[in-house]
Amino acid sequence: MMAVFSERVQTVLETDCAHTIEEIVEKPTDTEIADLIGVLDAKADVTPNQRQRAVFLLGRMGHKKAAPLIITALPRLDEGGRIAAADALGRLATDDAEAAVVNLAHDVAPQVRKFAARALARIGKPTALGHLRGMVDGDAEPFVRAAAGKMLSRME
Amino acid sequence: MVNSQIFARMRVMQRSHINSDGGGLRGCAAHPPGRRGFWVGSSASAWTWVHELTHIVGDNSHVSNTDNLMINNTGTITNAPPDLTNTQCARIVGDPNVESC
Repeated sequence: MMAVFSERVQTVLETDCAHTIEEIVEKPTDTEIADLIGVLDAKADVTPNQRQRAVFLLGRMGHKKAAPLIITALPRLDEGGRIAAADALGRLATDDAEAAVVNLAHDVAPQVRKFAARALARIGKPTALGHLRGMVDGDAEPFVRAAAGKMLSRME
Repeated sequence: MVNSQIFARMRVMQRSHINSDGGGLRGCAAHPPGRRGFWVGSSASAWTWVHELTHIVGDNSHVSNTDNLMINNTGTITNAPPDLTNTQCARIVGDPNVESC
């Protein structure tokens, strides 16, 4: 049986148009945040896309308490979910988020690594930028190296 | 007629195709004031591009009818090609950037 959420959360989990998510990102209720956190639960009967969307939204909401929950959920996330996690953790920018983003910078999927590069730049701490410099020279994919270089040039 | 009117003015609008947005979304029509534009992602359905265009041109909002172009997930459109209501069409024709050509 699929999980049931509040109406706005159900809508933003199902939409494919960003137009729908603006309102909830700007003014989420406590119930809606709790619903989105519930999507991350290992026992929640949700699709990978819904899990990706919940991670993405919690990051955009700036809900820092979600960072450890996103990190715990990482092993259960598919590539899209890990992309959303890199995006979210870069925005939440807690200490444990930085460590998780560094791990995502070595992910098997190059698109995840590209989002991790962006997240490291967004975190902006010297340690994060050091890892970003490492990606400029060290990543196996040219487009990831280029993205990391672009992010770094914006910071320096 | 409406399509040709819209496309005649497309040069004033920014359109972008992107690989991924991070949230699994297919498109977005949010834009700065006075700089109308939208993007569609690599996972876009056949109707995402024109759905986002219809947000911009005519400022049409989402509806709940899965036969309508403005359903909030174009992947759920059930009776392609999707419809636009007379009201939605009137909003497009009345858009300030739509002109006869």
